[in-house]
Parts: sequence; C-alpha cells; structure tokens
Amino acid sequence: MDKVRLKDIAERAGVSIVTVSNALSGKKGVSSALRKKLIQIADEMGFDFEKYKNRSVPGKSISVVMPAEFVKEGTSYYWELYQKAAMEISKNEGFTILELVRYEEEKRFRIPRGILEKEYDAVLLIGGFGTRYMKQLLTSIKAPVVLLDCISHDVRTDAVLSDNYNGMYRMTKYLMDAGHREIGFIGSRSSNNAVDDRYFGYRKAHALEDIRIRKEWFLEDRDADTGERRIRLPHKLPTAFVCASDYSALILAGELTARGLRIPEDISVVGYDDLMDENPFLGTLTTYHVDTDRMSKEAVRMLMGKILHESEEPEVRQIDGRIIERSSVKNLRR
Amino acid sequence: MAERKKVILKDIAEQLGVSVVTVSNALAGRRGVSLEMRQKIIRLAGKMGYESAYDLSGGGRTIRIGIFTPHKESLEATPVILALGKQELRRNRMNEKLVFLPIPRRGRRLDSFSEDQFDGYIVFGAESQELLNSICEKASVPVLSFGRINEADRTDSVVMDCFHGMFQVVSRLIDMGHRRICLFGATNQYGLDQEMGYRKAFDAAGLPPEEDMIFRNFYIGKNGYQNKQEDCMRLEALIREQMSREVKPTAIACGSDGIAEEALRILREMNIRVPEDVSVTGFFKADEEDTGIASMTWPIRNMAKAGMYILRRRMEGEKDAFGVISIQGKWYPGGSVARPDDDFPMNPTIIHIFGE
Repeated sequence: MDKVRLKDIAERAGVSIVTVSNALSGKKGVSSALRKKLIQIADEMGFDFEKYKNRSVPGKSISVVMPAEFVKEGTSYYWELYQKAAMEISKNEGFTILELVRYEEEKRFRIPRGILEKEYDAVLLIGGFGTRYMKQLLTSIKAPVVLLDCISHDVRTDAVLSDNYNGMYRMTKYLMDAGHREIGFIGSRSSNNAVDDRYFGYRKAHALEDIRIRKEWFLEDRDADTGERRIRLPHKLPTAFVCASDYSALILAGELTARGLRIPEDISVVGYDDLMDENPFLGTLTTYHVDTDRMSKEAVRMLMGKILHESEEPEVRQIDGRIIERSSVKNLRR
Repeated sequence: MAERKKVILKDIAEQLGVSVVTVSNALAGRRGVSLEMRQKIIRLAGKMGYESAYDLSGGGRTIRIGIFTPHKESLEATPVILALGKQELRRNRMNEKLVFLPIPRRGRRLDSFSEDQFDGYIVFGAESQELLNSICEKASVPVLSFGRINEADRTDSVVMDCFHGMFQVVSRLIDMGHRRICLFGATNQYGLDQEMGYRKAFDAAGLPPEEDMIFRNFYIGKNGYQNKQEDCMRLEALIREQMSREVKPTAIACGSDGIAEEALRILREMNIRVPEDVSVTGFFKADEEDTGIASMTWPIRNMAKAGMYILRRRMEGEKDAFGVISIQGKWYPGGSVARPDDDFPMNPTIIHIFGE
C-alpha cells in the first residue's frame, strides 16, 4: 500500500486538506471533536505521524500538578520525578507548566486557577492527594491526564506506578537467598500506601518460603505520637532487616551502631528507593532502585500518546526496579 | 525444520469447514467469531505452521515474532495480541509477521527451536518456570513473557496485578458491609498475591481477616476446562463445611471465574441463594463474556499494549530490561453480589474508597 497522504485523509473524511493539516499539526481553527475524528481516521489508515510531527507540530504544553510540600525543601524523591518528567517532556518538544497545590488549598478543596483556565494540552499529576481532593481534581481537568506515582480508585485514570509489592518481595527474597531466615521489617505502614504494599511484598516472600513472621521484628520507624523518626529495637534481633526506605535504613544503622553492632558482620540491612545522596552509609547500602527514569519516561510517553490517540481503556502500569548490590548484606551460606 | 508448502488461510478454512473470512477474523482478533471457533482456528493455525501475512502499512521494516502458545488462556489472548500488536508496531512504521510455535502440552523444557529467523519471541502463560527458562536461555533475541514472572532473572514480563486486584474486590465487599469473607484463591503466585490483597483489604479497613476462611491453590478453569478433579472436590468439601458453620461466610471471593462458576454450582445444589444468602465474586474475567458474576477483569488489552511496546523497544535495541510490568484490572459489577443480610454496625472509620 502507498503512503497515506493528507489528501487521502481529507477525501475519506470529506473535509479540506488544510483542515486535516491543521487538525493533525495541532493548529487552531479546528473543533476538538473534528480534530479527534481526523486523528482517529489518520491512525486507522496508518498515517505516519512521526514524520509529520517533525515538520510542524507546535510544542504541547503539559501542566505538571503536584503537592507543594514535595518541592519545599531540597531534593526529594518527587522532585526527582518532576525533573525527569520535565526533561522527558522537553525531549518530546513539549513544555512544562508547574502547578503546585498547597496543603491549605487541598484542605479547602480549592482547585488551582491554572487547572480551571485550561491553558494546557494535558496534565501529569505527580505524588497524589487525599482521596476526596483527588476525585475533585480529576473531574475538574478536561484534558488527558496521567498519574505518576499515585492512583485514584474513584476516577479511573491512566497511571504509572512503582511496583512496591514485587519490589519488596524481591528484596526480601534476596536476603533469603543469602541464607537469612530471621528478617525484620522497618517502616510505618500507616504512613502511606506504598509502605503498606512493600510490607505485603515482605509477607509474600515469607509465605512462599513458609517462614512465620514475628511481630516483634516488625518495627515502626517513627514515634506514633510525636512523628519523630526513631526505631525502638527489641532485645533479640533478627539476622537481617529490610527497610521500607533508605532513610529508615539510615536511622536503623544509627541505632545498631549505638548498640555496638556492625553492618554487615553482625547484622545485614537492605534499603529501598536508592535515593541519590551524599551520605557515606547509603553508599554502602544494598538497596532496591526505584526506576524513576523509566517511570517518568513511560508516564510522559503515555501522556503524549493520549493527546494524539484516544485510549480505549485507562491503564494502570507498575514499573519494576532493580536490586543494587553493595556491601550491607552478609551471605550466611558461605 | 523440513521445508513445506506455505499454509494459507484457505487451507485452515477448508479443514474446519468455515469461510476464509471467519478464519481471517479469528486470527486478526476481530470480533464476530465465537470463542470456541476462534480457539479451534488458532490452534489449527499453530499446528499447520501458518504465518500471518498482514502487511498493512507499507514501507518500514518487517518484524518476525515467534509466539509460543501452550494452553487455553494463551489462545484467548493471541487474537488480542495480534490486533494490538499491529497498532503498536504500525504506529512505529513496522510490519509484523507472526508465527505460532506450539509448545507441547505440559512441556517442561524446550530443548531446541530454530531461532535464527525471528526478531523476538512472546511466551504466553508458560506453564512452568523451567519451560520459560529454557526458552530464555536459548534465545538470542528479546523474549517477552506474558502472564508469568521469570524468577530466575529480569526477563521482560507483563502480568496482571492480582495483589491489588483482590484488594479491590475484597475492599468492595467490606464496603458493602461484608465481614466474613471466604477466599478461594487461584494456584501458584496468583493465589498467593490474591491472599496478600485479601489481607491488605482487611488491614486497610482496620478489621481482622478471617484466618479460617482463607484457602488457595485451586486449579479450576472455565467451562470445566482443565479442571483438576481433586481441586473441585476440595472446593466442594470446603464450601459445604463453611456454609454449615454456625457463623457462615456472607461472601465468597474466588480467585478465578472458573472457581466462582464451580462455587455457584455447589451452592445451587445446596439450595443456597446467590446473592441473597451469600455473595460470590470471580477473578480474571475475560473481555467479551457476560457471565453475570461480579469479577475483576483480566486486563488483556492493556497487557497486550504494554507487552508489544516493550518488545518493540527491545527489538529496537533498548539494552536495559523492563523487568516485570504489572497491570491492574478493573472491577466488573455483576448480579452475584449484594449487601449481607445480617446488619453489621458499619465501622465509621472506613473510608468509602470505591465510588462508581
């Protein structure tokens, strides 16, 4: 079959070539319904969007919406996600509008003006909000949306997440493969859903190996009343700990050192997240690398795809990371 | 492989006594062919070594993909993969030639296969870890596992997220007021993930799970396909035992639609009404069927989309493996669930997380 030309699409749809051109290149003067229809026809006919895009598609403006507290102080996991997403949007010839939602706004259920005025082609929502606000926000957005590292159970929306459950399963299994049978878990499940999923990954590994979980080795990493980050170690310790974050591992390492215990000679410790940090301990910590590169790449790719092609069914995709082996685990089998 | 005459659609149509159009529709994943006939056609196409010859986009590179298809689920999935694969590849200026490579039933390993002629492989629902390993070891081109995680290394795989799937199902039941929910999970990792999801739902609601109502490892397929007789018997014995307890379950969460169908049959025999006396939910609901059983859908289309994307990227030279990509299904409402009869005081701390 010959290459599909604009003329073919125009004939099939019964509109002018200029209209087709304007519709496909994102220029003004075409109703959104017609634009959608033309893109669909072009897609069905096997039109080569790639080539066309390079010539004349103006950049898409992507509104990145995230809670303000994630960017308040220094670098953080979410800030890293934002940076990578913005870079990816730029690679796709789009530009990024950052829309921060302050906690007061969320509490009062106020939708940011930028969202209501719709000065964007699509929205990337990073990090997430409370259930009710999330629902309100998603129903206010009248453009394609992809959620990055958060999910809404009320409004089915495309989402890219890190696979916390399988990730922690892998981490726990890694310790078991190194001969560990007594493994503790550090993390506050009530603090967020990701930690809760990680906890169940830890349980899955135990269930598969038929090892009973011991409650006294399941430790919170913060004080329930004050929120202060600390870990109260029991007298008898397991041979290894999985931590729900690198930060928890750091706190744990402090407590273990205070007891005169060495990592990994006396006790093994693994973290989670693989945050970029200058801290020397984290440089020795075996951990699970959450693939923020791939997550932001996939989210932006999904979003760009949604601008062009209406997707049939929202997709929730969870991205695997990988184990980064450093020197905080002792192999008991050797 | 011995040289042989090229198989065309007509050959398949003649053998089955159907029209060429039917065969074409079945293989291309278009609607309008019964599931049963579709499976027959795909199975025969595989046996006869049919090579799909769709060439729709013009220009671009032609990609040859070998598809290993060992059993039933894969046959259901194949047409969808074909349809969505085309879309994914065509948008990226590629044509595909898909070749079905049947795996012998209950095959443990594959010792040899000719592989120089393929650009990539898809392995559907590999029955054993060993089988998947043997394919990954031998292949020097990208391999995508569909439905099974390779424990041995980071083979690219696309799976359904059974953990959050069962979490959603049980959370909904809890939301409706159910407290005594019996779980009959599926086999292997699927069942274990379902159990973890069940537990997460109870924990999230601040309720203790019913430890003596949690069971898994039932190998029961749909329409009696590939049922393990002892699993059916175990299910029957457990349901009879649970339903004759003084404090009976008000809901039964099943790890597959096959288990749910079997449970419904047993309950009918016992003259127990669904959903008036007990609610029943399924899992892995197939796309086009209207079973009437409330269930979690098998997100086959999204899995196919993600899978073909990954395979394409890898065939284009992406070095870094994607690892496991897990895709969430969605709740399918059906008439087999209702609020429980006995009024539990609703726990005011439960947040209503699932709106319609």
